[in-house]
Amino acid sequence: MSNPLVDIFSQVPSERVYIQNEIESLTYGDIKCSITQFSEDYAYLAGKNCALVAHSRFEIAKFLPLIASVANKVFLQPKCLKEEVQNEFYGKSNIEYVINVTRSSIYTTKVSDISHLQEVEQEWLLSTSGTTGTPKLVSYNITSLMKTSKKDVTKGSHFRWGLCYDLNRFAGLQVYLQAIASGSPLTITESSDELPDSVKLFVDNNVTCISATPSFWRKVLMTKGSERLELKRITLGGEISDQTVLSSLKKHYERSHIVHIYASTEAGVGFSVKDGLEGFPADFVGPSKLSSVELKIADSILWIKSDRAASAILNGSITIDDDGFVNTGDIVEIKHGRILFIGRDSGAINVGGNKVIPEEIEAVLNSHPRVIQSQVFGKKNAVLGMLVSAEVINEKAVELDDQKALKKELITFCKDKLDSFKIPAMIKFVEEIAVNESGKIERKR
Amino acid sequence: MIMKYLIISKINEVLEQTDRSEQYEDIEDSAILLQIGLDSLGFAILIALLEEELDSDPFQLMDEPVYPTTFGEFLSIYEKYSV
Repeated sequence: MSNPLVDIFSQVPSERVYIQNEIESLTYGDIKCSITQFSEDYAYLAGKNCALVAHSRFEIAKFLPLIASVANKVFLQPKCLKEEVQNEFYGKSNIEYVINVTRSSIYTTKVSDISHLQEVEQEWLLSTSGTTGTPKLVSYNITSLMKTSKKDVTKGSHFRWGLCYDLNRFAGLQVYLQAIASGSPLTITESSDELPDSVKLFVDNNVTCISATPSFWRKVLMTKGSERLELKRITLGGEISDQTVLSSLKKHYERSHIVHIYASTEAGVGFSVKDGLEGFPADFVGPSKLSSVELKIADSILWIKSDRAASAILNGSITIDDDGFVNTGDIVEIKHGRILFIGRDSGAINVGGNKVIPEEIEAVLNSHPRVIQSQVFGKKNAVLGMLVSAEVINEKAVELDDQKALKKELITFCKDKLDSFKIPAMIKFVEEIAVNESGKIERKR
Repeated sequence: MIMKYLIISKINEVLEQTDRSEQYEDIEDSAILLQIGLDSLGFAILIALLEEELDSDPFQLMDEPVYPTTFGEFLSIYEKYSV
């Protein structure tokens, strides 16, 4: 079975750098040799459905082509997946072997014995982050995943990519495929790295293309030494790109092409905006304005339809209307010929790329003995896009001094129970919280 | 001067809120912002707390977008936009 990912390693000149970090550098040729060796050493994985668990992004990049060269399906499993979710995913996707990779070793574990049909094209499975509840398992066809990546190996020698996303998430995988499809080197930073160190690594390796969230870029702009980056391509995605961050990047990196991406996990597709302005042009809406997707707005919600990306969500549900449009859950408004993103229909808050569900935080606040009711919402923020804010009705009116103490107490109370980005940064004491006829809190738009 | 000490007191508040041990009486203008103990979340909270206090967020008022790297740059943004 021919595999477009594996084919790259025989097409790209073997001396070209494939991946690098501060201690290691591997060429396309190195991986080509490893592929041959791997298929001999791990012949029993041929045609099997495999889950890959690795302790670093670098290891994933090192082993993914090897596993892809033999396996039927590849599940890029995130490190910290709850056991019950893991088992559910293994069952749903018929995983037979788990391949664990650490710096020093690789070991495989057989988890099931299922006879299955050989797919014609390799399938890759990714888990959504699940910060908004149960993670979803999404499957992608490798051929269609790679269809959108430019494959110009000659041109690819002029670009050097930097990776600041996890490789087992869609955003990271896209950067990876984009880089290697043209045989460009990819400099890999790890999530545990401090930003000044990552920036230095990118500068030292002459990285020219980076894709990251707006919050990441804001932090880059605040980092000394970032002015030494000589960027040709800047991509922003994962949260709303506001005009401030777009303009600021253009000012700092005058010679770069700046692109911001809108992507919908629900629809499994997205599109890019290249004019340097926030939101996207209103004329993207309507039939065939974009090559790959069709957009419409109904009740201030963006709906998207696409024939691309044979992706399927294997668990969880999505809303599709009769015309095949998927509800993205994104609230938009039209202003001066632009469609701007306002927030999520569910009230979900995006704090620097991390999704926060207000109900989860309200439940924690409400469990405090002095809280009668609470409402959590997002507040616009220049650093992280949004920040969690709360209004609280407490048992009796409190004096100003006591308010400060209670605020502190509530924050401490939340600390034990919630991730730091979910803890309300601001808490206001109010007498009333608006609810609708069914008694539910009216989510602010 | 008053602005400087308001910002420092808010920085101390955020440091405490985010479980950091640092507390400052003074911060030099040349201090690198991302090295005083606040991460992105800490900065986001700092800007929000200052907005609560001052009723304005200079980062949303700026005509020329700037992301400060030193304490002095951060302070001058607030001094310029808060009357």
